[in-house]
Amino acid sequence: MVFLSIEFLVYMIVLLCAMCFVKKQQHLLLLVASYFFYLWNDWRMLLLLAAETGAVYFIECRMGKEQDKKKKKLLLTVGVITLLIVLGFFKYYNFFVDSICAVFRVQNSFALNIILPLGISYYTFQGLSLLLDVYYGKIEAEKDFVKVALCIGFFPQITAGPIVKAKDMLVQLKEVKPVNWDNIAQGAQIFLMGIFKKKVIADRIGVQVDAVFGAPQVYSAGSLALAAVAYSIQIYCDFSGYSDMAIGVARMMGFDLGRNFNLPYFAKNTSEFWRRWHISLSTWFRDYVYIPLGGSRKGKVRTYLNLIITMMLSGLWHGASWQFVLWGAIYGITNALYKIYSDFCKPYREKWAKLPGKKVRIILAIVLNFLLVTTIQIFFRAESIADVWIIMKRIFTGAEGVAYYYVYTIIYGVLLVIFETWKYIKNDGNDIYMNLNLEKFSGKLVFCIIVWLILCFAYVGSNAFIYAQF
Amino acid sequence: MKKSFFIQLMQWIGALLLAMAIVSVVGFFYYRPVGWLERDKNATSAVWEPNTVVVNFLEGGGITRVDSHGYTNPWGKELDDELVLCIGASYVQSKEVMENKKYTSLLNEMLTSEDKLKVYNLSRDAYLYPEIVAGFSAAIQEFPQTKVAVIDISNTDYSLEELKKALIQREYSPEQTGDKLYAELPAIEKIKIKVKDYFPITSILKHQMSQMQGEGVDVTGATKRTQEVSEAQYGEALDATMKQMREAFSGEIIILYHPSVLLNEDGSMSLNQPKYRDVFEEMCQQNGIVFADMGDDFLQAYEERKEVPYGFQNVTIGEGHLNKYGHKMIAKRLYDLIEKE
Repeated sequence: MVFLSIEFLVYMIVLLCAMCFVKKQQHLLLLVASYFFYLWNDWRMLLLLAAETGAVYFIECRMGKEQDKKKKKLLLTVGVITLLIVLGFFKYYNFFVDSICAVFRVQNSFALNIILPLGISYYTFQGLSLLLDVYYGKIEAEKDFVKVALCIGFFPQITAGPIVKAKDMLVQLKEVKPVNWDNIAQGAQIFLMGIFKKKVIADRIGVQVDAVFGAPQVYSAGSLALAAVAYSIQIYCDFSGYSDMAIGVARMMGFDLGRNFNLPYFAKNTSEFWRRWHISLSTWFRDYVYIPLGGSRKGKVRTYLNLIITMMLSGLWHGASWQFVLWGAIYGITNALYKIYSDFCKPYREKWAKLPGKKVRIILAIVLNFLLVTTIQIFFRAESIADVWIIMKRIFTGAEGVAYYYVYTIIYGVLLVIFETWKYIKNDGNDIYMNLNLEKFSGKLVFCIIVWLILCFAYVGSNAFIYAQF
Repeated sequence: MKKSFFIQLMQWIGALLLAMAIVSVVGFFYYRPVGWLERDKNATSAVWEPNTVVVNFLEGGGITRVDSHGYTNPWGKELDDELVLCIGASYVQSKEVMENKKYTSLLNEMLTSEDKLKVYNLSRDAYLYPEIVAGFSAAIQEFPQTKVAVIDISNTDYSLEELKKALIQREYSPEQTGDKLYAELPAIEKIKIKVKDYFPITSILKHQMSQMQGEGVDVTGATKRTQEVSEAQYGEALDATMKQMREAFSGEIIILYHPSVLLNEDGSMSLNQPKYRDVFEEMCQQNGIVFADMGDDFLQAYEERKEVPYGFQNVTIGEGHLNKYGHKMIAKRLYDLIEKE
């Protein structure tokens, strides 16, 4: 079952109605609904989700009872390794086998035909978050299995996040959520904007991206550069659109999944970009990888190394290939370089702030950072490392080829710049969710116009979410 | 909710309808096909609502006028005494480019300096070779001043059944031209057409539905052959269709064949040649029909100027309908052929 389907609409109506009547057992109802949602996709994978949840519950309960620090650490280690082995097998087995065979130059006869369970990267990280939060004492061990299961497998976020940390999710499960009109109205608006970003913008722009990245040798330098920009727009609207849908659905039921994107292309450097992009994953890696590695507490060199390692692991999380690792490493290096630059500039920062032309410098930094991010995203989208080389070479040598300046990339690009700039200025550099007053006729009218625009201008050729594959 | 349920409901319905009307205005600039009049006689089985304007920016961008016959030709131009009749499907209709960019207009400009229509566009969506053959005699009767008939095809492979069916000729009736059909329409049908004309949102939604169902993907007119047949058998069936056209018309017939192209990963462009292309050409030669294959022109334009004949900047390049480059190349080729004669 996907968000953009009639089945899901019916499912949500039934669930919201049921929530109005079921108060005491609301969490159980949500868990059954979540597992039903997952079951709709593949019942075999539901067993894996349930088994993983069982393991997390067992270990976190034991950790809660355990006073001995060493035993607690042992339990955590067992839990983390178990979850990583499961994730590693399903997601990375073939990648590692391939890589090892390539290193030793032997024929790969160990490859397996493994189906990647839906959302495994997401719910594994939810589970890890619970274990780590209990271990670090951020939360107490949860004794209610239903709450633990819901924390890991809550349906709005299970397919492609956001990865809500256990400490943030379990707090919300302490009380019964009332179904009310305000929540539904607010959630529906967030959901609607998510559909707009995904179906009207991302999927339409994907037409150019697929064509150009599928045969980069065909197109001219300008067309390739525009396609790279198009991909930046596509992936942002696709993933933030999906996140908005998940957040909107959760909001309708009274849950707050936080914000997953915060105007990322208004970042002035790559470090800030990652604080605005896929925030739930970035903060996960910050809290559970970068800080435990030592963060910035163990000297400069170690800080830079930690940044690179964290980003490389983030790259590997995105996909089982060296291309993703390379992509992560590049981000790690740019973050480290920015850290060096930032440390170097520290003494002069106050002086520079007083210099005229601050706004121009900010705009320049935003534009340059966008171009840098767009260039790095080529590593993410290209079909192979060889293709990355071809694309870069053709762009930077001004290669001739077919001119393909996709109209929608230009139109939607301009509209996005205007709309996002408005939000950036209005909310002090931060994103805002649409919040129409649906009690008023004008609010209803704007809502209905967006609905009609989606129906008329949605691209109906494809509907796969880019981040669902991770 | 503070307001009563009834007021809220009424407001939602009102908002929905008003929003529909507002979005419909956008439709006038995006996609606005006009009414479609079905008929059982004459060359094509349907024509557009006469004396209207079709707007299409779904693929490419074009504002196309429909004449009193229901075909896509400029208004008010007197027909020349000697016509080049261009017959075909959506490629000839060319709703995807502006009127002055389509090959019939370009050819008209090349052939005459007078303000007359020397090149007439007789086309309909999905009007493929078998149907063209079936309606060929009716087309010539409707436009008896035809000197050259150009038949536009992008595929040469059809099923034997389709070719056999093509031999059943459609009748011509002067009572079934576009304007006369429209005048005879019952009031309810006229209302339906006007709703379509003034609420283009209905057409956009219909288009979205058909895209969702996977329709309208292939514009080449490629049909699924129910069974593989030998070249001899296929040639025989084709020969009968061409003889049929020859009987109806003694002037010059040009079959304009423009194959679809493929942009390859290595940066080259190749042609998608159907199986019976050579048989088609051979049968044309046997029947004194000119077979004009645009393939080499397309490849040359790509090699020299990286121009691709199909596709647009708002869809993909290399797929779909003819763009301005394709139209220009075809117009030039037709001009050379007609001038040579």
